[in-house]
Amino acid sequence: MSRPLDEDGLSAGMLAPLDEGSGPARRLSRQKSAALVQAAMLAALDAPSPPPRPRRRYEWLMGGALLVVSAAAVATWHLSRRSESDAPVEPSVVASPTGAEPARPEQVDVGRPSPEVTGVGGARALPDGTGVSGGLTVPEGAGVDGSRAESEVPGVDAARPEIIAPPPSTKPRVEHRLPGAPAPEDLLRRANEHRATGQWKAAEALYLRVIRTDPKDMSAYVARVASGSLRLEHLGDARGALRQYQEAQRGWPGGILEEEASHGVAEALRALGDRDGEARALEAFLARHPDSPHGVAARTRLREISGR
Amino acid sequence: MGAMTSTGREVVGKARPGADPRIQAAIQGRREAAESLLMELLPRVRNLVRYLVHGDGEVEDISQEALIALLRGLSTYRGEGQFQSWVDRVVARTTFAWLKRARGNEARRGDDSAELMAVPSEDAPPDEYVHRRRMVMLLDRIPDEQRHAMVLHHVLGMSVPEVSDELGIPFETIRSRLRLGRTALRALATEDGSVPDGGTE
Repeated sequence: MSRPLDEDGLSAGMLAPLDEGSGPARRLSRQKSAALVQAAMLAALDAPSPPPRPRRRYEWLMGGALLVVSAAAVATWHLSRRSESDAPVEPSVVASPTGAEPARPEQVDVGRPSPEVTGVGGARALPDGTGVSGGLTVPEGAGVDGSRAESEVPGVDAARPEIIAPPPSTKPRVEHRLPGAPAPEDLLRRANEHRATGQWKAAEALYLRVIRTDPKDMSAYVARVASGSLRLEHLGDARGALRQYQEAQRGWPGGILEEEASHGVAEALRALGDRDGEARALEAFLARHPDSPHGVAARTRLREISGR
Repeated sequence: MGAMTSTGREVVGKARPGADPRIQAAIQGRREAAESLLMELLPRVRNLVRYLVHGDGEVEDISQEALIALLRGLSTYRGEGQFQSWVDRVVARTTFAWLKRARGNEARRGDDSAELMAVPSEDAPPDEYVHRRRMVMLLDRIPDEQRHAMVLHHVLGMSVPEVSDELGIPFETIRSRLRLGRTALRALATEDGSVPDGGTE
């Protein structure tokens, strides 16, 4: 990498003029770039005077923004499929997503609204439209989805595989909501608000409600990943987190949150002390997401536990 | 980068004629325009932050804070000079403010040796990403005061007086820091093998 010297005595290009090209910042996936921007927009435009929080704000807002991006995708997808909902309705069977619920498959009660969740650790449902501080509210008219974000970031991680949105199911759509019941995206937004204020159990209750409302809907996917993260990081329920992440992977292979889900599986297995399982999960994660921001840590951990 | 110097006479919060229409739309509060702008600016913002800070650990946090500062500061954009230059200055100031807050907290300077794994081997074909990563890792090894002067001068293209003004440090001090920084960087690059010809003057 020989470069001639310039008039300042530095090799030309040693310190290249700033541009939008790759480096020296680490590569960042387009999905995460979109989430980062969304988080900044939320913080700047929806919460004009947030208190300064020097550490870990990035991850936190990023998580919220991921949910916001995904919720917007859900809304778009939901609308586009609404016309299909006139098809005959059939009940679907889903595995229970929580450790507190029975492990046996649960028969979804079609046509009846999910009961208001109030029983999980004092969870309470906020009235619609209630503002909660923290800056993690869904922007009005948000129309950002993962695929759009993928196409809009120049010069970032061009070799990264496209994020594949889960293909629409060929089965008739199951509609559980009665007219007037909160839409899944509203529930996700409210859950997000609870997270922003540290009300983990209240947020978890809403995620579970989203999952119960329509287990095959994209919103349930988002909720599963969010629930997994919440259980792992704040509720001390690694086993429940693992189940949520695995359900998300099974139900939406290659989905928009695949990176988070597969990394979450590894983290949950680590928390459970399953080193072999963790190693396998890390290998799978690195194979699918070699450029992930978690990649370095994942490789380091893999070497550590596999003795390589 | 003369465009970075502000006279403060122009109308505040107005993009100059011929500028990207998204800028004016964003100033007027149009969310989509602001989002589109930020998406475009993000790689540049992150690159500048990484040039200015040691290691990768804080880049996303600072970048996010810079994006917020940009959004909140849009109404103060005077429309003079290049928009990107204004952006660069906001990002640099946000970064310096962050570093000032973090000063004394050595825990922030974690060991980033693991990041070397992200750099392909010597046998790999050199590309700009690899080169920039190497250079910034060399920058990580020189003192911050030299580094900041070097980045503002060489990366952002500011003149020495502009760097002096931006950092609030005497002109001669900046010149001295640039000289020392260049010497250190050359030596490190030679040692590292990034300048196989020797890289000497």
